[in-house]
Amino acid sequence: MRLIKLRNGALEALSLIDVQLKKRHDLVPNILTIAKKFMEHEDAVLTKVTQMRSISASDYDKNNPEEVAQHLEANKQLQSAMMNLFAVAENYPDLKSQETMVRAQETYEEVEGHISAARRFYNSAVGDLKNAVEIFPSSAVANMIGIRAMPFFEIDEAERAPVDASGYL
Amino acid sequence: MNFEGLSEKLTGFNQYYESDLRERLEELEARRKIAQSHFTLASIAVVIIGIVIFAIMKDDVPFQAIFIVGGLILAFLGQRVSIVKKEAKLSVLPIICDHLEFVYSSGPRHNLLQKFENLSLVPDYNRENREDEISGTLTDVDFWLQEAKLVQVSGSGKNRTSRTVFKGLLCHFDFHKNFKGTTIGREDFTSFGNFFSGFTTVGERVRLEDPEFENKFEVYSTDQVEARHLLTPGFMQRVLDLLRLSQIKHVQFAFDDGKFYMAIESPKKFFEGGDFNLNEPEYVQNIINDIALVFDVVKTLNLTQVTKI
Repeated sequence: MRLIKLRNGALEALSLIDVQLKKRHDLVPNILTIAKKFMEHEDAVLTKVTQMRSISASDYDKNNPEEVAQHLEANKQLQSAMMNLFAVAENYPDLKSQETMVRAQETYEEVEGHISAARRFYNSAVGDLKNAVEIFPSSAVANMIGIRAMPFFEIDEAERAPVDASGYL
Repeated sequence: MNFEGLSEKLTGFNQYYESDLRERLEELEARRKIAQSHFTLASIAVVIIGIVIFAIMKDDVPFQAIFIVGGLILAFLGQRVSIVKKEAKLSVLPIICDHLEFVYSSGPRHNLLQKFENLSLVPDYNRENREDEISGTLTDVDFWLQEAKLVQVSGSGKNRTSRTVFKGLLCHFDFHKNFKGTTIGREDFTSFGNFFSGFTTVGERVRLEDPEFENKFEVYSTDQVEARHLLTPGFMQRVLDLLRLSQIKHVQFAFDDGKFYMAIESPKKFFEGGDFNLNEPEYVQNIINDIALVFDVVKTLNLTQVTKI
């Protein structure tokens, strides 16, 4: 049945996002460890990243659109916190020249590219599901069998610009 | 004539043209003119002799003999013109490539046609002609290209027909992102054509957000996420920009084995200098312009970028 296929497609796309988000989740501590050595007076920035990393890794029910939305929002917040960290890092020339930090930064940039690609795939799958769930007659069937639209993984306008990591470090 | 606009590396070539090449091309042009006039005179003679034979013999005209003898004479003389033109090309193209630190071969040194076939970047064919292979590095991007003409011959005897199914450049470039799967962008053949072409293409259909890009290309990939990682909105726009270059009629592309493959279809014959006389500066300029297409592709697609976006 088409509706089930579309829902499974969206869930599969969500899993693919999680694979990429997990990569970022694993990378953040490395960046924090290096950054802490140089950014002693930036506790607020570093703490925010740690908090958002912890929240973004919370378990959630993939079949519950509200929980999915919260999960995606938490990961958006983590991305914002990381962007802020890199912006503040601009003020620390020693950190900018650290070879390990530069490499970590490159890896982060690569992971962000994959997250962005996974997000586009997910949004495409969610768009198809949303159309089927909201347009008659499939909307009636979706109501009967309890299939609901899933939330888009949108990014803020300011974050739409490509991440140019080299500009930060 | 000034070639310096293309690249600083061609500064030396400008000097070489003035000191050595111009004289050589003058000589070749003189030979070409003689060969061309012989060909023209022979064509007129064949027609006149045919008319005379027809007038004398009327009912018993040996059409076959006229065609065979006349055809052989014209083919021989036509070949002489082609040989001079090829000599001119071989006097110019390898030297330009040397100055640009590219490797040139007039014949095909590597056969990657099978690769382009496997990626469904070229149509089915049963006769091929490949020449002018150029490879090298352009602002840190390794590239390879070869001119190809592919023909599909069908039927036999009197029903035998041949159709050129591809004429243009086959090329590949190093790509600045890491990837494992295969992603193919094929020309959009409308719903009916896409339905059948989809069977022969690797992977699943990838639906992308850019409506103009979707209108021009059907993308298939073994990895949906990776396809989007490679075909970012910026890169899709750059591929569309590439289609606006005057020398390009159609483009089909693929990402495979860490490389970006392209089959560029064009109505023009590359590296032949156009219709200019061999001693005209425009002849050489035209050949340089054809090489400049590689510069255009690398620049337009931004293949050298280090931001990996």
